[in-house]
Amino acid sequence: MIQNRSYLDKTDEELVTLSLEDKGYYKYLVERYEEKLLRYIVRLSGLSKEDAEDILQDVFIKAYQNLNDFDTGLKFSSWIYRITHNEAITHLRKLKSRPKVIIDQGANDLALNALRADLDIEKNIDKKYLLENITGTIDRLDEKYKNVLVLKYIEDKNYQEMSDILKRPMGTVATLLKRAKEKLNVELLKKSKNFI
Amino acid sequence: MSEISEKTLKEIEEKKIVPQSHWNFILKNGVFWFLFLISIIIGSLAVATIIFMLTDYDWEAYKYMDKTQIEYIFLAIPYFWVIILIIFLTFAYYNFRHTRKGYIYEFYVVIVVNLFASVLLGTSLFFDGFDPEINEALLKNVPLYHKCVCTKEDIWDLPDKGLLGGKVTMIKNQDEFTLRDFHGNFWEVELENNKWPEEIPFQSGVEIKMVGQREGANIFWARGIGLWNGKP
Repeated sequence: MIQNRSYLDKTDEELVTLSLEDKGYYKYLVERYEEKLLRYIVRLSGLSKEDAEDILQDVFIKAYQNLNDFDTGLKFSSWIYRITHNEAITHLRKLKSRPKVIIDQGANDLALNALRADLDIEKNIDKKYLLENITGTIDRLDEKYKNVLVLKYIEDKNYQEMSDILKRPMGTVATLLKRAKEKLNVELLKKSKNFI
Repeated sequence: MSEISEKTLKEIEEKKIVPQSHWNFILKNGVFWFLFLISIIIGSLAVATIIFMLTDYDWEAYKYMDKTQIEYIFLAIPYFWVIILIIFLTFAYYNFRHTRKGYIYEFYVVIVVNLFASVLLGTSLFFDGFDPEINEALLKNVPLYHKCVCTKEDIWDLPDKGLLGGKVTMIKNQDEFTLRDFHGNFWEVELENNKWPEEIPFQSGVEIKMVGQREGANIFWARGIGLWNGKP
């Protein structure tokens, strides 16, 4: 077994190879991703931390069982996000509840800055209002639009990664994102008019 | 060690979970590729049959029928094979989409490439001596199939509308002969003004098609005659 410090230098792909030889190495991959993925599940589903942890554990077990299916032409992070996304959606469908988008404050600011720049609606909508209502508005969008918005603006994924995570062509992802922004824009404007 | 990694490793240990074999995934991916290729092959057979049926069709026979050219064209479309082609194009797309990298390509790209491959293979198959045995076997054994396609035999099996085809079985004299149609019925045929075309041998065994008029239960008066595989 390698020493604790040296695993930090290993790439994800090297850790996958090592984990296939000795399952002890798998904990380093788990530790590397657990925080990000837990946050992603909570953001995507709106479930409690405890429920999200249960899903995450299933994700890591499933990923371990499928380690030999990991395609080295893909980023490991995209592969594990894909499994996480599918598990979270499957879990929610079992519960028959719509995913809720929960954005923590740190991520909220970053996401909002990126979204505001892209939507170009500040001149029409009060900034305070935008801050208070954006998550609720994203939450009411269709699942497909919500998924791309969360991945792009909250998880900060690029088109290639989004395509690999959602298993959709990049062109489709770009179209979905464009439509998602348009829908979000319309919904925000509509709500802000009612608010005024 | 974090709580989640501890729990995960403990569960892996307790339930003796091991990674599935690499071959499982290769096999799974291979099955999708195999089904994709099978779909393309069946699609090309459909294309070859469509080309066969369209080239075997008498495109000018509408002149002798009470149908417009457009109606006649719609009658010529082999709907059954077009539906088979669409089904297997969809099936090919489904299987390709489930291969390892299948999701990268847009729906229309996959469909267009699949269609192109089926048309290319089907056309090569047709020109490489395609045997329309499937079509014939289906026509003979599946009545429902026959309802879905319009064959050349169907067009030349309308004696009430003046169209009749079959094989000459006996020459009686210069302007009379016996013909067996595609249902095995025998017809006494009389020729108008001894008009048997010079280019067709006037002998039994020749397959012909005729334009004329039904004169009785099994009597047909022929105004024009053509070789079965020639122009009407």
